Amino acid sequence: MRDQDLDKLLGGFAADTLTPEEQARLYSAALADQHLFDALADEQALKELLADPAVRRRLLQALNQTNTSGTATWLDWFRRPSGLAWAGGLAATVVAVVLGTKIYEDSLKHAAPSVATEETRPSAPPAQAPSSSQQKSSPSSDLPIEATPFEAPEERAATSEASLDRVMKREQAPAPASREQRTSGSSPSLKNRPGEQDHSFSQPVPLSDESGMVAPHTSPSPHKKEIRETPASSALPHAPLSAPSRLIEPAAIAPIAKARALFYGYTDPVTTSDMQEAKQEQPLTSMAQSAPQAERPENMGRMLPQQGPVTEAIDSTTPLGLRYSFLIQEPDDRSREVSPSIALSHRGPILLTVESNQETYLQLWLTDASQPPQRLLPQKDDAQPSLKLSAGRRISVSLPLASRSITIIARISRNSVARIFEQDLPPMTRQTPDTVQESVTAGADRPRQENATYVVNQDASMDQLTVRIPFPSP
Amino acid sequence: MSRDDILTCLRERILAFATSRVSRDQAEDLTQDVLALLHEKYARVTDLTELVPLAFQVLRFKMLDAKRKTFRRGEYNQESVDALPLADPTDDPATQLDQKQRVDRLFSAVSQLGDRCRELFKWKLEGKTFPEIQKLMGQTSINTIYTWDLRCRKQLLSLMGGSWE
Repeated sequence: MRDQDLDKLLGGFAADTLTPEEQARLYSAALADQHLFDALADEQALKELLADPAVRRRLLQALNQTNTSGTATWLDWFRRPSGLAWAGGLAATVVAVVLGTKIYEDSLKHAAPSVATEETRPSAPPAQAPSSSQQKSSPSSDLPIEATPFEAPEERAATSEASLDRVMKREQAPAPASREQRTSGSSPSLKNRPGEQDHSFSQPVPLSDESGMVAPHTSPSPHKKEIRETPASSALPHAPLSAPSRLIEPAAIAPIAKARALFYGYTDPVTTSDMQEAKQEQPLTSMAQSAPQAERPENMGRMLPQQGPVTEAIDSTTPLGLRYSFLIQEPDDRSREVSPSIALSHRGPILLTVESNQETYLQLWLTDASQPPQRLLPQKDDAQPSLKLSAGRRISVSLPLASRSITIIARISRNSVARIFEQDLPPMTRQTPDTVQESVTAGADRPRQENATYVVNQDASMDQLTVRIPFPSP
Repeated sequence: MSRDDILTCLRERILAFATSRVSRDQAEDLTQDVLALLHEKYARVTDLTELVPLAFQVLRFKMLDAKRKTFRRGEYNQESVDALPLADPTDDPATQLDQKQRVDRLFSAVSQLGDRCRELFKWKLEGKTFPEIQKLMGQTSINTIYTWDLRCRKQLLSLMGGSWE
């Protein structure tokens, strides 16, 4: 035993059971070590107790009485360091499992509403859906839709759910169904789903002025289809008065046929509009100054079903689309998209913002009844016949204030050497036929308003698109 | 080591120990009393293994006497000496009660020890040495017994409140 370990002999000192060698070593060490000496001096009290034969005998009797109770055994086990370690580790494990389970359950609870929100988001437009009475009164004679047979509310709800599921699956499909497939009505799977047929952009949906969401946009072209955010449920003449709101959920497929959805490639309209609204806080740019919005392609790509940049998602087979809006400058130097009527009453500069959904070449012409057409972009003295317009990049041009009744003609083409750029604008240039147009205004649920018009050429093979932008809008 | 050498070391250790418990003057008086007693009454004790434990025992008695004297002289409560009773050569009731309480605390603490410590303590009370306990417990190394005994002693001291007094 080392000298520094001699304090282990203290127990033998009190019981007086040390061997002579141990005593000699302990006492010699105590004379040299004050700490050990003090310990021995303190131990003298116990030694005095144990020196009493009566006390020693009683202690021996007490020690011989074995404690066989389980409680004492457990207490003894807990008093041991190893027992404490085991108990502590077990307790920590239990706490970790309980906390982990709780966190997992919380995450599931949080995940469920978000999934539900995503699933029900397309049904947000039906919030502006008319009442059932409006549904009953809405004309539907133009639609080749078979009347939905009467169903019990439970059956109707089940049918609606199944329809919604099918709609969701169809939205997830890589390519939308052809127009003929959606409008044929011969498919038995479509007979009981009038909502899908209502919102197919090939169907001339009756206009409803009570939606309050979308301003009607007339077009001189007889071929142009106007798609408005009119509830599709208007085509449900047999819908019961007490029909649950879920029956209107097929309207969720309406954005598929909208020009804005086509423009952005079947994106969520709510998210898209939010993105548009977020960008309206940018300050006004000067005349003919492009407004680079580097974040836009990423945002678009994020919302598109396909992953990747928007330039990859929207290729040459994507219908050519144009978005335009009128911007005014507010007192806080922020620009805001407004309707043409509001822009007309604005005293400051008015900007026309143009954006294409793919890389195109742009020409802007100004026509007035009193003057021949003038080229706004590129300017007259510019040698380039057209201005390259990247996808998702907006270009703003200031409108001349001399005349308050003008028409802007925007011509875009995928080809820079297009024939339309080689000639001057005819006075009576017509808008490209077979386009779908949608004017989007904000609703009460949007903090910032979007006032823009989307025009998309339904024929994806067409490389050119001509859009007439009347100001003020009729 | 001769007896004088032992007494010299003992004086130094006793003085240091007493100083840690009482005042310096009292410690010197205590040390002087212990050494005087060892020198005069136990002059025949010369072996280290006898002289050192004897010194511990005398030191303890002297410290208890000093505590009693201090209490009697009213150094704590400043009472009149005349009001105190005469000294009794046997243990006074307070001392007896104190010892009884210490014994009770010892019983209580021993009963809370683990099986191994109880066995170890029992064999020590039976007068078994550490080598004998080593054989009884079937251990190959006596250091294991030393270590177990040290832990059991610390546990017993903790159960008694940190002091044998």
